[in-house]
Amino acid sequence: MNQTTKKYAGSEFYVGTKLILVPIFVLMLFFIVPIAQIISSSFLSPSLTLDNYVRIFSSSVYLEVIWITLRISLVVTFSCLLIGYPFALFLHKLQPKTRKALMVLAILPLWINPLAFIQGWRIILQREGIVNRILMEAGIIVEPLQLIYNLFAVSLVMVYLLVPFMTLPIYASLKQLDLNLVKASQNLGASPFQTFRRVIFPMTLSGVQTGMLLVFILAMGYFVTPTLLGGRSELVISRVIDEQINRLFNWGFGSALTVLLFLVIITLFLIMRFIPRREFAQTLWREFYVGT
Amino acid sequence: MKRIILSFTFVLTAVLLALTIHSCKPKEENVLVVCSFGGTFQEAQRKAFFEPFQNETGITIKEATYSGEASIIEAMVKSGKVEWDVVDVEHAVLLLGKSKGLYEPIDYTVVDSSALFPEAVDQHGVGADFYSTLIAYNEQNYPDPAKRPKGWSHFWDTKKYPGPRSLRNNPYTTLEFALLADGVQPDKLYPLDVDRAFASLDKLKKNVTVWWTQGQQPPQLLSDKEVVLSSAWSGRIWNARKQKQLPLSMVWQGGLLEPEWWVIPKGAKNKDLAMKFIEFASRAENQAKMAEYFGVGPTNKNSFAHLDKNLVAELPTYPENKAKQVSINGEWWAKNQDKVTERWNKWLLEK
Repeated sequence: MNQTTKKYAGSEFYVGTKLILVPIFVLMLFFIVPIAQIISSSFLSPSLTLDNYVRIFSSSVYLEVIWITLRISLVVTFSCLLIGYPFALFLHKLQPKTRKALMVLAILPLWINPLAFIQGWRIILQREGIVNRILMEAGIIVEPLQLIYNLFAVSLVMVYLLVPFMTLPIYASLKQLDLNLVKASQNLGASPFQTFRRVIFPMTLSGVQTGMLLVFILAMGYFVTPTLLGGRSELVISRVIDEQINRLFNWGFGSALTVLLFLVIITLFLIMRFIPRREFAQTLWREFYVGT
Repeated sequence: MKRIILSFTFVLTAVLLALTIHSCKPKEENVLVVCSFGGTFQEAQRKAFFEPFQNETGITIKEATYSGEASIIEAMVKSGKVEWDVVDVEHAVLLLGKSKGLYEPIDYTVVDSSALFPEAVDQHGVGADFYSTLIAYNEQNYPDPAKRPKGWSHFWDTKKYPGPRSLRNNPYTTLEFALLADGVQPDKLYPLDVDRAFASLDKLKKNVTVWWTQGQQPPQLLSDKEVVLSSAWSGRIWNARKQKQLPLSMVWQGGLLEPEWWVIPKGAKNKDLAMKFIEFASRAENQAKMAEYFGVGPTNKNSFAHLDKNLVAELPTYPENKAKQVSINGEWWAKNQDKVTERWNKWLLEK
């Protein structure tokens, strides 16, 4: 820590501050200005009014949709953690060459057009799809299972798409882990599980936190997957916003919903950001280990 | 060092500014920008309208695509930077946009409306084609022609026609179907009895496994036998039959007929050329070509004379088919869509 501070204390420090002007400028132009526009249109469209916000609370449907979106995002985030963490551990243990190949495989789904990708899953999951056919041929089931057009399909595909955003930050923090600590723990007679619980996991929490935030925020904005693979109960807020702005000309109301979504995400972000690491870890353990 | 970075920031700012200014480039002569829905639909329009128009007039057509987002047109008109001269819009978007004053009035001294169906003539738009939203099924599921579904009461009859169904995830047209299934006479459909429509939908809710949002979904769902019955857009089913040889059928009885429209956004740079293009696209022979390539209904009554007899019978505006359908009442929807959509979303989430 001290070393880093020293390093930037010299003349290079100023270079750093000036260089940061560039991203600030770009962010201003492409990020802050549009957000300011959305906020202002939520109050100003059609005219100076609070009606857009009043309307959100006038029908239960919008809060329900936010709740559905939150629920899907949380399911996806925790599923990604359950899959992404072991996968990061696995990657960490591999030879560099194999690891590189596997990492490419892990981010491969992100390169495919999402619509083509969803088509593929449809063929696998539908009533006469691959999974149902295999299960029926094997005599395990008589009637086809409903695997698609429900929460299951939506979560499955979103987890598949978002898992790299969990794995990579966790892998990065595993890489920084001092292996001597692991050896010390084993040397002192800790079981592998104890070593993991007391040493490895707490020291990779920054990766876990980053991964969870990334996945959660991305999941909150997904709408093609829930719309095409979900049933009638997988109505997410981004779809409603799209409907309001793009189909119904309701700029003001669509913007108000966007601001609400924004506030929900910011609140959760701040909660996660400012919970002390140790408490965060304890909560996670309670969820996954003690609780279940 | 400081100076280099400062000047770098400055240069970058200048470049970004220049890019912004560049996007307001001066008007181009003899170029018409036409925006439509893309995909195979726009390919058909290219062959039927765009290319012949270029050959006849020497005017270059620059194509744009969108997904029907009315908001883009509104943003263009309001900001005064109208990049599209002609846009193909859905019926509801014509009416919503009209109420907001987004379109130029059509000059009917340029566009000849005498042979057009009256449903395809509007003060602010000219019909681009007709399509129908109707019942579609896979013939393999109903091998006996006598036992095939014939109307919306059959669609709602889960005892005689068992199996999962699909409806569009949108109250638009779906409420009409619910009322027709419940026994409302086609001529008494509007104004829609929304309460009765939702009550009718309640009866079918559990049997609808897929709520589709994209036009290509119903033909896929039917040919994959994911559902036995679905509401669908006639053009999509026609194409699945013709191009992919899928055994899909549609039921004209109780279909909802609606036009798509050519509109000129207010402030379009080439308004006069746009008018000429619309005139060209409304001619009988060009409307016939579009019908031949995509199975949509011609807006021009004289088009049928240019077409093969077998094909004519499969088009939504062929008189015999047209008589079985109901024309959608866009005015009702323009007034009520907002409220009804809210109720629809609420209804979807109810158990």
